[in-house]
Amino acid sequence: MMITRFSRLSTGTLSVISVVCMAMSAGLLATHAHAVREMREVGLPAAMELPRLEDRLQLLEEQMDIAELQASLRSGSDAERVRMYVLPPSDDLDRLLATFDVIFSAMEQAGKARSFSAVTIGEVYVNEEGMRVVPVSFSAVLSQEGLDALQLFFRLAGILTVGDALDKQTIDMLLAITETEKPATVAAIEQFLSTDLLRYVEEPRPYEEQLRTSLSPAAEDALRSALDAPRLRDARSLFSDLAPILRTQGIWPLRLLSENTVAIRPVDNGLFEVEWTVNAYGRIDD
Amino acid sequence: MSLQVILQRIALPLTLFSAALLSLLLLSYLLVLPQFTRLHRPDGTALAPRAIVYEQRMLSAQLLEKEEQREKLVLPVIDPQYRTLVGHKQEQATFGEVSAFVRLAFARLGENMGALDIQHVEIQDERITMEGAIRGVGTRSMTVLAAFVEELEQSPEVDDVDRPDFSRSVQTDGSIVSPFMLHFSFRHQ
Repeated sequence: MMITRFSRLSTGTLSVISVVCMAMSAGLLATHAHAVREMREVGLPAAMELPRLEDRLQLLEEQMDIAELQASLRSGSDAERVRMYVLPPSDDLDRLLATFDVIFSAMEQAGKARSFSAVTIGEVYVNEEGMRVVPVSFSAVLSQEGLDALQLFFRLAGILTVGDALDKQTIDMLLAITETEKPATVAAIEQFLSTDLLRYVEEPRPYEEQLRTSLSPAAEDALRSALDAPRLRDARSLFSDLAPILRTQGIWPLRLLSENTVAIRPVDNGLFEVEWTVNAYGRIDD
Repeated sequence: MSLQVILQRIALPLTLFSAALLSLLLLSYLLVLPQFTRLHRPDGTALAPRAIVYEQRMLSAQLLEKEEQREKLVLPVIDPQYRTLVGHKQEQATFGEVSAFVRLAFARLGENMGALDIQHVEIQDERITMEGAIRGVGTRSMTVLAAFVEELEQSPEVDDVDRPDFSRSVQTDGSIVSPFMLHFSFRHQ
């Protein structure tokens, strides 16, 4: 019946209808081609990534739950130690000078430094970040080894935990290990990173073994790489001899010190004449 | 047969064909094409290609956020000022690092290492001031100095080099030296 109806339409009308239908068909064909191409070039590559991203997100969420629980169990004593000793509310000059006493003596006894000048305490000021700053100036004549050691000391002074001594790349490497292991291994990493730096340096093996036993043998290479990170190695080499005296003098944790200016001039016999200005940081009392 | 007669004869079949083609393509567009150009999720939703890309970007952003939160949890943050200062300390370069870097840059020139005489180095945060002289290369002292400065400028660890004045002077023993004072920012790796 429909065909009969169609047949009664004029030739012109039928032609127009044909042309319109053909044009729409061409448009639909082009749409098909575009959709298939878009899926192949855009959709499929992205779709292949989705399962991996979703799995990783789920893993991270599980790790977050465990890490949050572990964090809640921490006693908060580290925060207190930072407030009291690392960034103290007062100038704390006796403790500050005891620090310089200890490091100067250690370097002279090790033959890495020939002499140290008097230490000058500058005018205390508050910096742009609202920190209390005590500028400390002194000069020294020391060997390359002594210069390296002293600069390393200032880089590490004030750092409390293993985690703070590591750079981001090493921490990312450790966290990447946990993603190939059980989610609960993040708690072991967290515990290791929050270990007191001096305690770790005095006796690294128990902490490393504890971490090792939480991980599978497959993670051994990555773990060894992380434990051999330059900053951790430097901390071990510097503090292992200083540790006993830092404890007996009661100056651990160290005040946070940062080099402001270092001027180095080579002199005779492979020695260097060095002038330092070091900032000793503190808090403004609330 | 005239054109009009031909058209009269083919108009209806052509119309029926084009209508049928259009119908089939429309059916395909509505029912078949989505099966092949959508990602069907387990929850029953179907994502178009652009939506898949959007989903991928959202997941990547969420992952980044979770990684940052995880890092904050595993590192005992304690105090934001402490954290800032510790980060700043990690960026500071030591004389050993600056010296090793500068000597390596000079070594790449293929010159005798004794030609680079560093007399004074000052380090303030990332900013390095270095005084010294190029000696022992005869009349090429300024050339070697220029090559050294260029080598430093091209290093990814170095920014913002203040070029020295290029001069030469004759010492009492007849040797030629080119003194320099360089200022640059150094980011140790």
